[in-house]
Order: sequence, then C-alpha cells, then structure tokens
Amino acid sequence: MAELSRKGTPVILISSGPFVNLAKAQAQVFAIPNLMVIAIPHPLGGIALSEVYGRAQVAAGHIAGILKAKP
Amino acid sequence: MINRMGSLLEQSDARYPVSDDLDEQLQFCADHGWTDGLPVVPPTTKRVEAMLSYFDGPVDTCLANIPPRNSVATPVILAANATMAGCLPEYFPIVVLAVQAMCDSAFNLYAVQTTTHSSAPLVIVNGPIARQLGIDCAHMAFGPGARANASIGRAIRLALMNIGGAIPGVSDLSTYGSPAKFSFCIAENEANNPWEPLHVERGYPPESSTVSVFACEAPHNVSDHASFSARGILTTVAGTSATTGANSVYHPLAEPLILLSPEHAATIHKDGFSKDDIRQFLFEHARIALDRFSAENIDQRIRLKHAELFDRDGAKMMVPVATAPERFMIAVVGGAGKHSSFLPSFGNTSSVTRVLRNSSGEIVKSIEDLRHKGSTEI
Repeated sequence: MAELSRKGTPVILISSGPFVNLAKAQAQVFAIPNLMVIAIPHPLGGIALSEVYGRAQVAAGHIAGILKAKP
Repeated sequence: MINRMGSLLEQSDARYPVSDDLDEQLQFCADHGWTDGLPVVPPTTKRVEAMLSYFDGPVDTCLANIPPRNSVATPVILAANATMAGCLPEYFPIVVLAVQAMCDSAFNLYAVQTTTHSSAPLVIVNGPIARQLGIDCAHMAFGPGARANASIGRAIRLALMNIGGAIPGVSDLSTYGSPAKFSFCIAENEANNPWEPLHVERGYPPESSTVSVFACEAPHNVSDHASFSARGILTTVAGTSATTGANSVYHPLAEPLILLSPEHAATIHKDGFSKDDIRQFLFEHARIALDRFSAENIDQRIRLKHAELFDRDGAKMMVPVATAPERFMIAVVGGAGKHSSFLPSFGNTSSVTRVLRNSSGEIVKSIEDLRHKGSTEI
C-alpha cells in the first residue's frame, strides 16, 4: 500500500473501528501519514453477507467522494 | 493520565530528567505508558549502564526492528526495558537473543503483536546458561517464583510494547489479553528429559545455550494420573489438544507445542517411544470430528484450509490438530506430578531458535564469557 501510494496510485484503507488507530499509526510507520482511512462498523466477521455488502456500499460511496475531490 | 496514542508514536530513545524521589520516578514511568500495569524499576542511567556490562559492542547499534512500529531496538533501549522489568545484568544476553529471534521473519512478529488472538511469544531457554542463570525448568517454570523467568519474560514484553509499539488496546488488540503477556519465559528440564533436548534436536551442540521462541497460547493442562503406558498418556495429550477453539487448527502450518512433565516423559520413554514416535501418534490421534465444528467454520475455514482432506473424506473428515507429524514441537518441562501441557500455536508463525554467541561469533559456554571488561557509559 505504501509503495503504491509512493508511485502515485490513490490508496484508501478501509478499517473497522477498533483497528483505525493501529491503521493510522502504521501509516506513519510506513511514511504515508496522509493515508485516508475509512472506518466501518465492527465486527465484520460473523455478519451476514448482505450486511457486508451494505457496509461495502457505504464505504464505496465515501471512496468515490474522496477520489472525486482529489485534485 | 497515560497518553496511549502518544506512547504509540513516541521516540523510544528519549531521555528524561527526573527527580531522585522514587515515587515520582515510578509515576513518571507509569504516566509515559512504559509499564505493563505493574510498577517498574526506574531505568536510571546507572542501572542501565550496569545492565550493559553484559553487552559487548556499540550501545547504539541496531539489534532488531520490532514491529509494528518497527522502532530500532538498540542495546541501551533494550537494557532500559530489561532494567524496568527487574532483570539482573547477566540476564540481558538472553533478552537480546530472544528479541532478535522473534524478529526473524519466520516468526511473523507483526501478526503476533497485533492479532486479536490471546497468544504471546514464549521463550524456552536451553543449555548450561539456563542453569547458570537459575531459569526455572521445573515446578514453577511458568511462575511465579524465579526472578530469571519472571524478569526476562517481562523485559521481552516491555520491549515489545515500548519499542515495538504493541500498546494494549491501541495496537495490541488481543480480545482479552493473557496472563502469558506479562511474562512467558521458561527453561527446558534437560536433566529429566529422556530424549534429546530441544536445542540438540534443532542441531545445536549440547554445550551451547539457545533460546527458542514460540507464539502460542498460555498452557492448557493435560492431567493424566491413571495412564501407565505411552499410548495412554499420549491419548490424553491428543484428546486435550483436539479443541475447535484453538487458532492452530485453522492454520495448516501451525506448530502445536507439547510440554511433557518428567513423569509423563519417563512413562512414554519406558515404552520405547522416541520423539518421532510421539509425533506420529499425535498426528494420527489428535483429530477432531468435523461435526464438532460449526457449519460456518466448516464452510469458511475447514474446507478451505484442509481442502484435500475435506474433498477426500467429506462429512467423515477428522480434522488434524497438526497437518504433519513434524509440526508437533516437544520439550520436557515441569517438576513432580502427572500434568503435562499443550500450548496451541498462534497459527501463522514458525518457531525460531537462536544460539548464544560472543561478539566474535563463538558459541559461549558461560554467561561470564559475555561480561565485558570495563564500564559502559551512556
């Protein structure tokens, strides 16, 4: 992910709530401090597939908004 | 108030002026998030320099990069953590070697540090230096009691937190933690091991001293007071290990760890079983009927992780605790009593063994071989 970002590919991380802080800290470790992190509700494991699709759709909307807003 | 997010990002080589008041020093360490919840020995310059008397080399050299923060573990920073843990200076080489072993890519420390699983890195010390340092291998190997076990294990945990950045609840996201995350260091009971000790089995000379690191859960007890045969005891071991909740059953490369008590080991050995015979028996008998798993686990994990076996046997499948005999790791630990232990592996990890050498690369036979002449100033 860090390598893709350095090559100019837009990179966005989707993380469930409890792992967001770890994701942001790791973004700093890997020298991509401005990594966009989208938080989704936790847990993801053990939920129905339809619910997974629902969360993915919400996240996709956020991703689209971020990418459209990028200069 | 501890700024846990701050300590996650904090530089690990910072130095702070503090007062001579012990209570203030203890509070200072706690306020900076450097502790495991218990008070630590304040890492004053004098104490850290004493710890470094058993390190020969530049004190700011990179010994390892500890994930997930990937901060550099220098001798002085590791010595500070060993001091906080209550280590004697002569324990320090073991702390260094164990941390380096855990940072071997095969161990997969990044995953072990950040998993929701309750596993922790276990250190098993072999060789004469284990005995010199008084690392308990018998009755209270897992504690409490021996300073060496308690403080070496604690030093490693503090290093993983303070240097590696495995901050409880922030980046160390184990669902409920573990007593093993306080301290997890033992020695093998070589005197009562009827077979080759762990380090010899792994190719090291008997007179060498090694650390072997395993990412595993805290011990599951194997109580067997009735069996008087190898097959009997190993049937109990196999039964104890056949648990659907163990991480390792979902990872084909997992290495379940079996720690046999001396009495169980003697009985097994008396029946002519070698370690490989033990492995073969457990491979054949440590299995779980498929209907013990939930339908979801069968569909999402078992049929994928054990595809060949699932395709062959279907509903009659017996899921192996280990996918090959050689994956069972075996050592002898404990005192009197008919209790052995089974430690399920984290799963996606391989154990690593490293041998203790001096700065010239020679295998050392005494811990005093590592004490360097002169003093260290930091």
